[in-house]
Amino acid sequence: MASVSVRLQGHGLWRRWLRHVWLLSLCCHLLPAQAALPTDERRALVVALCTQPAAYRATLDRVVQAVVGSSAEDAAWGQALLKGLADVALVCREQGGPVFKRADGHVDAATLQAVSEAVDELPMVPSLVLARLLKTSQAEAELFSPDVGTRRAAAQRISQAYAQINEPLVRQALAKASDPEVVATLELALAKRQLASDQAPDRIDAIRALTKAPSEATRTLLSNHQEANPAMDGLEHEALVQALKSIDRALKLGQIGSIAFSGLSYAGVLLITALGLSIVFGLLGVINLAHGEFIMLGAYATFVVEKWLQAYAPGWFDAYVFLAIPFAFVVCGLIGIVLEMTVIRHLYKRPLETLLATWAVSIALIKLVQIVFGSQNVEFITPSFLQGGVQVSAGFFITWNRVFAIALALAIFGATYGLIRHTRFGLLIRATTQRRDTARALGLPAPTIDRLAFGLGSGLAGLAGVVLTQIASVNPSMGTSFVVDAFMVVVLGGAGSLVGTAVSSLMLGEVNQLIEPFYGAVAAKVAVLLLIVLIIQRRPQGLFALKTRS
Amino acid sequence: MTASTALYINGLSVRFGGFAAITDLTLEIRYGETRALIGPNGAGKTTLMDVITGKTRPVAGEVFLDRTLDLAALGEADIARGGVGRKFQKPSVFEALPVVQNLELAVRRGLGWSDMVRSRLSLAQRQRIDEVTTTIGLQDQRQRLAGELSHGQKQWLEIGMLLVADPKVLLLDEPVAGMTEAETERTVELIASLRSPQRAIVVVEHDMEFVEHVADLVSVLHEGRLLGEGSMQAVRANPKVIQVYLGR
Amino acid sequence: MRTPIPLFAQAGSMGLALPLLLLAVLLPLANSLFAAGHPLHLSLFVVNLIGQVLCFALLALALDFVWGLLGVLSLGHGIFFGIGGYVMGFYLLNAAYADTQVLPDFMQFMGWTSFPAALQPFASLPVALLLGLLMAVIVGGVVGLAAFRSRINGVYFSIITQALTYALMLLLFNNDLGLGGNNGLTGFTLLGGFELARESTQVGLASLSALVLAGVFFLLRWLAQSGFGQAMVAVRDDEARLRFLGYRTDRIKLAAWCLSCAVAALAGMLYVPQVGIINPGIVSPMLSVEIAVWVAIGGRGTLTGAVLGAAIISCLKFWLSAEIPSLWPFVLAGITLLITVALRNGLWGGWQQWRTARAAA
Repeated sequence: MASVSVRLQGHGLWRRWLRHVWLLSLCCHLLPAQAALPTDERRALVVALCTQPAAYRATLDRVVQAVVGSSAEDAAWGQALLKGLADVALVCREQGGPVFKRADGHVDAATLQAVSEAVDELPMVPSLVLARLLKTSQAEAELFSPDVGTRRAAAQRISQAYAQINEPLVRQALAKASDPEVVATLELALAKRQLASDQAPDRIDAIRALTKAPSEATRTLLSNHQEANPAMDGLEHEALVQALKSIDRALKLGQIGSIAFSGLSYAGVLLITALGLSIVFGLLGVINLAHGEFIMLGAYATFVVEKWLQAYAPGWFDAYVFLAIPFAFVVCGLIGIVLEMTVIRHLYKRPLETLLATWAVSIALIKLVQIVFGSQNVEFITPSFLQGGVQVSAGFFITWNRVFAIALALAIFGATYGLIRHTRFGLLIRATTQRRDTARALGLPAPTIDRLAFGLGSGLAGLAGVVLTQIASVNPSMGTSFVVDAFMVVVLGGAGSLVGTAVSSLMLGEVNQLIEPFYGAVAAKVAVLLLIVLIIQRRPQGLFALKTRS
Repeated sequence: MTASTALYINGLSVRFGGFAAITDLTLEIRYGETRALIGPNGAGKTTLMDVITGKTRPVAGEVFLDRTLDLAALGEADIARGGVGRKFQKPSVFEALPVVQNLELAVRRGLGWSDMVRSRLSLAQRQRIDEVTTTIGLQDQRQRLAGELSHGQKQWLEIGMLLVADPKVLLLDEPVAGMTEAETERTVELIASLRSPQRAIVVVEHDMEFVEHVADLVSVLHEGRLLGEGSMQAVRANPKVIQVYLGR
Repeated sequence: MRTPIPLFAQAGSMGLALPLLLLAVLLPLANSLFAAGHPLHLSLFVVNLIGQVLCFALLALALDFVWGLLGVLSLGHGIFFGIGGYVMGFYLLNAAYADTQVLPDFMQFMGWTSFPAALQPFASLPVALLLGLLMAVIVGGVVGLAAFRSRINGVYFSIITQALTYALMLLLFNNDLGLGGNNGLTGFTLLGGFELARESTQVGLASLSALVLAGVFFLLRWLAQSGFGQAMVAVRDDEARLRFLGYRTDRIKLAAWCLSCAVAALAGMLYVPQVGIINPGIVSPMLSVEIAVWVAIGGRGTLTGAVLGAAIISCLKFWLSAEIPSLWPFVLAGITLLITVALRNGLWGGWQQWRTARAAA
């Protein structure tokens, strides 16, 4: 960064200095202004804002100088003026000078002293031009704020409004800036502006500077520049071509990263929705078409927890997701056990009938939830610690709620893996899955294991619902779209295999995210199906089959 | 005059993952012969039948019918049409269909779709069905649903289904498993009556008495290899066989 | 293994075909001979409903052929119903355009100024019918080939058909495709020269539906009782065994499957002119499962059961959705659960079994 600043200041130093002088002559004052502003000057400035649209720019620049100057009194006055304009509180009186309207009366615009007489006129509404310039001026003023957060935000706005900024002032801020983010943003802003310079070396500098901050915006800027100037000399053209190549590379990397991340996030969703299904299908051979509805119930359980906390314990609100986890697990697990006892139990060894019976349960559940909660989407308030995100590189933005969803999915998977692999209960499930008859001959209570495993599977589906509240829309029919995908995962990964579920979730998640943005959702689904058919041909039991040939 | 070769198996090896089910097996079965395959469980007897009928593919070796038809390269249906009939351990008849329809299905061998759709059978086919129905003793049960037959009757029906297709090679996998003494006797008679100079019969069985009554030659398999071959007495006296069966 | 029941009570009889033929004749009679208000009069509304129910029965018949007899549970027959329906829709759009010279709304929204060339081949009714059946057979053929060759069976096959249904539904919902998007195709006026709005046309369509159902029922039943039907049942009960008897079972499955897809498409083609609209909702995964429920409730594997099951449930649905709409899912769920858990052979199948058991006793 330092080298670029030196380049900006060192290269063509003479020309730069001459331009400064020229600008200064426009501004009519030397910068920076150190002396305090006399009252009539202040008044003149305000009047200029009221009556001279052509001089808005110059006037505002002067005001901003006052704000950032060393005189605290002037700074306060300048701030008041800017704020007054923004708040639509400046009254341009015909006589007596302009005043600000305050809640408790009016004050003189120059002295900020209370005005005794009554004021009838209404405040001036800033024109669009003035409003825009005003925003830029405010940003320029905030560049000098003591708070780094304000400075960063102001720098961003400066960068966006680069065409209108007061360049010398921004350079002054840049010289004083210490925060690397602010420095980078301001340099970018100046570089953008410099692209329109009439000096080729300046433009080349600007091009090179813009390469350091690759984004769609800078790319568009550069390609527009290229189109607008077809007759460009060799050096500049060369620099431009290089810059575009470099930016394109960065954007491509960003796109890859973005796809990888969203693939990961989708894979996480697939993983948790398919986990319970895999266990149940592997153990019981049961296709539970109501699995999607357990996911939905988990989401609605989260809603209930959210609302309850909002009403009775608002201090705990941000933790609603964590509190919903055990709640949803237990509720869905219990409902699953009831379902097993009443319906599934009687359909042992009849998978096709089980399919239809669970479908019947699913339509009843959907209708029930529709009646109780309504059929519209349910809105969830993202907890404060999950809001926002971070920009990793050009075009690649990570949102915290997705990261959280991935993390939660992994945690749930880890816990399930631990349960299945390292506990007695898990051992019972694995044994009964692999060789049911032997397990029963050894005295293992298969019916009880079935029941509890089904409850586990349903509970896991509920947990999936909890996670989904943060990243997907929640409504009574949300389950149906997840069931088909979850089954694809289980078919591919191998029923009953946890590792298989994880691997196939990852595969299918990435395949989906690779294809969907370019070819649409339908092509993505068909591609997934083709992949599965191809793999099933070789390995009919899935990638990580638990049951060997028998 | 030696009869011609029906089944020619040379250097056969079959693996399932890391497990070697059959290793370097060489066997030759002639027409007119009834061969018994015996050996402890897991010796590879059923696997061998799987390979012959096309259910499993070998990793090495040759399997030929008549020395000309490469069975390792054909699918199950084609092998069956080529004249190889297999009876499974579990009686596999079509329980939802009556006895006579089971036989009708079998006699067509999946050929002649227009005949199938029009339910037409040639005179020869009808006669064959009548013959076989009498041979297996189910002439009074023609319209009975196969699912309602007794265990023994189902086994016979299955043999009957193979017979109507007049197979060159008949593979019988434990044909008397689960049968009563009387049923076993009847089955012995049945299989003995199936002997023909144009047919080779291979029987897998554990019941040694049955084997003695039915088989000309016995091949002993153990852990996927051929342990010994010969008449029942010779095999019984073979020290290697004794070792395997008595254990050490 | 469930206890086997005889396929059909009386082999060789016409079964349901006869009553259906009667229905085909009665419908127009009841509508035109008797004036409104007469107890034997059937209003247009009722006749139209019966026509729709007959189309659903045809669809259920297609599924039972391939599920009850062949043992292949397709949860995606809505795909073929939809193909037939949409092709009929293309024809009707052509006919309406030729009649009114006005482009359908959705085409106007897309900014089109002339009738798209892609839909013009469907301008002739016989060609459209043929194309519809052909497309259903081709799509079904591809799916069947891929699945049966890969030995994908049972629940795996069912789930894959559900996934395909979902994908097709997404495709049809796409508003940019030029197939009506989520609004579907509407604005039909003429069918083969007849005005769709006329009562006589609608009654004729309902009558035609009964005729077609009778004919298809007769054909499928005849097939089921033939050697081919025996082979289908054998595939259902022990496919491996049949292969070892020399049968190329994938070809048998493919042939039966393609026939079933064609019949489903036929049902769709009869359905669309009677409801006047086709939209992607018809290809929803849920509807495709419902077809299987109709068959299960009637009694799968009996063909008659499928027709009855579809008729009973559709009539119930029409009636209850009008009276107490929010209760219908619970009623359907309850009936389905009852049938799958308790009455395994369905209503008709159960009755047949009871009769056989009583006759044997």
